[in-house]
Amino acid sequence: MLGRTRFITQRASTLPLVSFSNKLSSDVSEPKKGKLSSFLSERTGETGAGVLALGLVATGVSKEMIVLDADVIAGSSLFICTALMAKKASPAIVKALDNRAKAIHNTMSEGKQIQLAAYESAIAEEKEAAASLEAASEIFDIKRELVQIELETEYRRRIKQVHQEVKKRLDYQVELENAKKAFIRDHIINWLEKEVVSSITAEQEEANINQCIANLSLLAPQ
Amino acid sequence: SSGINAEWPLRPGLSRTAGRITTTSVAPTLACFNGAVPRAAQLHTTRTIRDETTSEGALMAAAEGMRVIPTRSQSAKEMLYLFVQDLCKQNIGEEGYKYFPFALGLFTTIGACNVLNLLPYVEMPTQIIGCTVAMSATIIGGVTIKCIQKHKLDFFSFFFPAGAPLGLAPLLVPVEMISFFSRAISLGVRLGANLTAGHMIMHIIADFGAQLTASGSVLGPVTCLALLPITVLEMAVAMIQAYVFSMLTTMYIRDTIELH
Repeated sequence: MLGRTRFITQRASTLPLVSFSNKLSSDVSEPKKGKLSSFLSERTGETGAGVLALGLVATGVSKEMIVLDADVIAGSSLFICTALMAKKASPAIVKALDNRAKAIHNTMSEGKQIQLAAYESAIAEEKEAAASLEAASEIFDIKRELVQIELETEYRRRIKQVHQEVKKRLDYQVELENAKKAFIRDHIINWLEKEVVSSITAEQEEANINQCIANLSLLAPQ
Repeated sequence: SSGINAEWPLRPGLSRTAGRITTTSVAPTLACFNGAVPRAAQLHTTRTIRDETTSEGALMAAAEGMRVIPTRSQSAKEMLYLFVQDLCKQNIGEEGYKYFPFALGLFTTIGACNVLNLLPYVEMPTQIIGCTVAMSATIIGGVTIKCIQKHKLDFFSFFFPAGAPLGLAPLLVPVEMISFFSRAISLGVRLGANLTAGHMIMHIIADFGAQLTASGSVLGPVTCLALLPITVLEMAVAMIQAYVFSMLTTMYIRDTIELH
């Protein structure tokens, strides 16, 4: 692109929708107040011009300079109706015309808008994909940690299992020893008891019985 | 016929396949578009030496300065153009492209004359019944000649509606003939009478108001105020009558093409 095309393309976003080739946008400005209207408004205020006009009309009518003919009244009525209709309807008409121009502009730039929308959605999708990849790396870390936790859990479970098995075996040995000791103790007790019983003579037994009877008779109530 | 490429241009003046249009039918149309008639006339003069009837140069001259994204005035002109284009399409059909410049010129001319007629001390041709009847008679005459050219003796089947019993022919045919030829008068009288009547009402009320105001009565200003809605009504009637005239003209042209 060269020259004017390049100039316009680069500034398209700031240029107005409709431009005139023989005018710059800076030349199209608000209409300046005329000398007479500014002269009147400075000295007589905003309503000064209206009051002057009304006064001139009243003078003209009273002195019959303006003859109140049927056509004059019809013409005045036409002027008033036209002014009122222009004032009431012009914003709506201007808006409708501008909307029409915008609609034509939109129709003509529809292809460009569709392409822009496609590019924007592609950009948004790329951003989403990038964001999801970031989330994916976090998920990988979480999963890695989960695996570590699971490994630790399994390790501890196995440790516990080994502990329990070893304890079981040691408890068995302890019980075995206890059982052996109990057996030996019982055996010794039984042997001692048997020896003691076998060592008691008849005389000792009789003496013991007599003693018991004597104790009982002492204890018995009179 | 005559090699016309019946492609309705989507945007006025922006299609190079606008077909062959004579300047005489286009000139009233072109008067709307940036005052390009003098240049169009120059181009037509130059072109008629080379091309017999082509006046695409006239249309392109009128389109000079028009923009793809329209300005407000161009948009308003395009809406008028499309409005009359729709009128022709609906009433005449695809062949209506040939008569579209005529219909547009008719609508704009009569509309402009009717609206200007509202001004004081102004009397436009459309208020004069002699002028409007002359217009309508010319149109009906032209339509009749065109119909006879196209349909030859079948034209006379116009005066006997299809499906009517043959025994009623002595009664029906004169009635149909009178109704056909009275179009020439009714079309013009409708326009002229509406404008005359409206103008007369405005004049009577304005005169009444002026006399009451001059005599110092309170009713004077009230009567003058009552003129305001009537003025608005007359403005509406001016445009409506232009539309009615154009619409009826297109309907009569359709009768020429389709006959029934």
